[in-house]
Amino acid sequence: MTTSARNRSPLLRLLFAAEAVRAAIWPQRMRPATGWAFLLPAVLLVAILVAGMAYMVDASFHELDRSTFRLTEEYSLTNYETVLERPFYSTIIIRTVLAAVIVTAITLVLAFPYAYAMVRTKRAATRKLLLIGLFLPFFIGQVVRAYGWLIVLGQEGLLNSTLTWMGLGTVKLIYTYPGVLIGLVQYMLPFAVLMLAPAVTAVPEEVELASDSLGAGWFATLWHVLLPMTKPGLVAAGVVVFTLTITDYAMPEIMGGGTSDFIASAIYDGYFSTDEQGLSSALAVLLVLGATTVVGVVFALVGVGTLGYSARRLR
Amino acid sequence: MVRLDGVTKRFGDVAAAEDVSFELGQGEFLTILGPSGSGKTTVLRMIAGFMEPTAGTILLGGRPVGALPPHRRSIGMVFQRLALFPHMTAAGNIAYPLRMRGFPRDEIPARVERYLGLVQLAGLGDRRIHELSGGQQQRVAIARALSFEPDLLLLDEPLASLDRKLREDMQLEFRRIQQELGVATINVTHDQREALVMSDRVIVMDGGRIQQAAAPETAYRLPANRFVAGFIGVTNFLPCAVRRSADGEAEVAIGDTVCAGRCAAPLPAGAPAEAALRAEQVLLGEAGQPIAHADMVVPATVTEVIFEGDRVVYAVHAAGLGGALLRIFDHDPLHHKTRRIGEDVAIGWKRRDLMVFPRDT
Repeated sequence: MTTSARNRSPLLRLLFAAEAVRAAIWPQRMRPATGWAFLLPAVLLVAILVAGMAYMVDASFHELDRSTFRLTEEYSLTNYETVLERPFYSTIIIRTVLAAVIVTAITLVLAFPYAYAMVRTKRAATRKLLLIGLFLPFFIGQVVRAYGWLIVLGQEGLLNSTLTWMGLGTVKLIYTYPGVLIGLVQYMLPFAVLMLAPAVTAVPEEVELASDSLGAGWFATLWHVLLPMTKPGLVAAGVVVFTLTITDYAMPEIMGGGTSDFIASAIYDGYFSTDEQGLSSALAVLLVLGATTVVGVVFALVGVGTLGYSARRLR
Repeated sequence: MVRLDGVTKRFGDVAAAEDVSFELGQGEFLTILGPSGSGKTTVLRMIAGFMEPTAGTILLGGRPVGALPPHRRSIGMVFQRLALFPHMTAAGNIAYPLRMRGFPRDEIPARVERYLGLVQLAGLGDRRIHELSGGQQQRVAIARALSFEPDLLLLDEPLASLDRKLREDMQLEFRRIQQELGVATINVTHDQREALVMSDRVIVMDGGRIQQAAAPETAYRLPANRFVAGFIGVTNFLPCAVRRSADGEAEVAIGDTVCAGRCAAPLPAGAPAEAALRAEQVLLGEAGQPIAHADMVVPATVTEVIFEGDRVVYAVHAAGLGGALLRIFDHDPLHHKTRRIGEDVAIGWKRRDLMVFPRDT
């Protein structure tokens, strides 16, 4: 047998050339540092984010000087006091947190059957259809989707003309809080399904059959086997939906039309409309702290779910 | 305990199981043996209630079960991949059917302990499933399937994934537990050895149909057809022509050699047939010399030698048998003699060991 670099295909030669370059600039003894090198771009990105956050935290401790419209030099907790005292802000905070809780709950309830059907169906055509239904919204974008809702839920929209035709009168959903929640649930559903599907896949169908043969009906199997075994996925999906909702900006803006602003809207207004940078920063810091605390508590109570990669896998 | 009458399952035009009928008594251990796609798992799933038969009836304890869902049947099942609940302890798994089936709460702990003891896991009840070894997980699975005292135990190849040593240990262990409790059991496997070792009775299936239902030894010694003869044991099939047949005996010509053998049904003279000879029933002797106990002796040449320790496997070429290649298991407890490739030898067999089957069955 004659072996020669010449016999390799062009692609393989290219790969081996790259290998030679790698060996020259990253010799074998640098091996232990390889992982850190790969991490570097991500660390840089996070570092920029942290720098921005630091600036924001700093700004949150300076009050706005009404005479110059600049932040004062002294450190003070005035901004935080204002946020916690003004009813305007507490209303927005309560509204946002409540929305995040409701949207998370409804989304999980709707996403679980969807993910289950998608994973368990025996028909390839059904699975394809469900997958298309899952990914289609991603191609459309949040703004276009929200306007779609305006068409369906508007005063003269699909829903109200149907209700009128049935003689049930009309409901006002556009520019209302429930309208925002409906829009958010629809927006979050694909994320939740995508995070739940692997968790359902990880439960062998045999386990459900076993539960059935051992005497558990369908609901008992759901409660005692399926939900506990998919808990990692439920936790992960819940955390993602919760954090995405609590920080959402577009949906309350478009579907709420100013009636149901979330914290993000107030922060935006503070930075770009009313120039109250300090106040907005305080609000943003509170939002980050609040969301982090909730996620931290969930992780502490029920584990990190499928968000945490671990060597020990579910069998 | 269980009776199947003409049970058939069709998927479209394909019959996964066709006209399957058998009966199983209290305490009996039945193995359904067959290759994959033979319909054995389909039959098991219909009995468990995961599938409904297209035709025929299944009776459990004398009552037809019809479309009764699995959780309303009194059947314990051990699954191929065990299907234990990883979020529960071993004891939690065994208690699960008791809770679901409404056993009195205060009786459950004692019962769980008893079944842990039965499968020799006493004291390990608090372990999580992933903290147990493969063999221990098998034991939990069988305890879980039995703790609620089902009328029937189904085993869906639970031993298939184990390594050989552990599998053989567990075969005996399953058999011991089954006999201790006297529960009627249906085991499904493609492992002929497992079927012979564990069962009171064996049903051999192929193409969705029962090929033979018999005691293990009968199925081995008197296979009903060519499929059974080929599936259980290692068998040489030699094309031959029938000269005459009567009273379960047939005289056939294998190449230039005329010899007699057994046949299940009379065969018409001149019909193409196959003579079957098990690898361990072919005797090996010195070229040109008679072989003790053999009714027939023909010359042959060794073409392949595989030393397996407890036996030597030979392939020999026999010109006198139409140029057939035969596989021989030689245990040779007397001489410790291993033949060389190319060596001329004699092969022989007893008349009762040659079975004749019609070709194309």
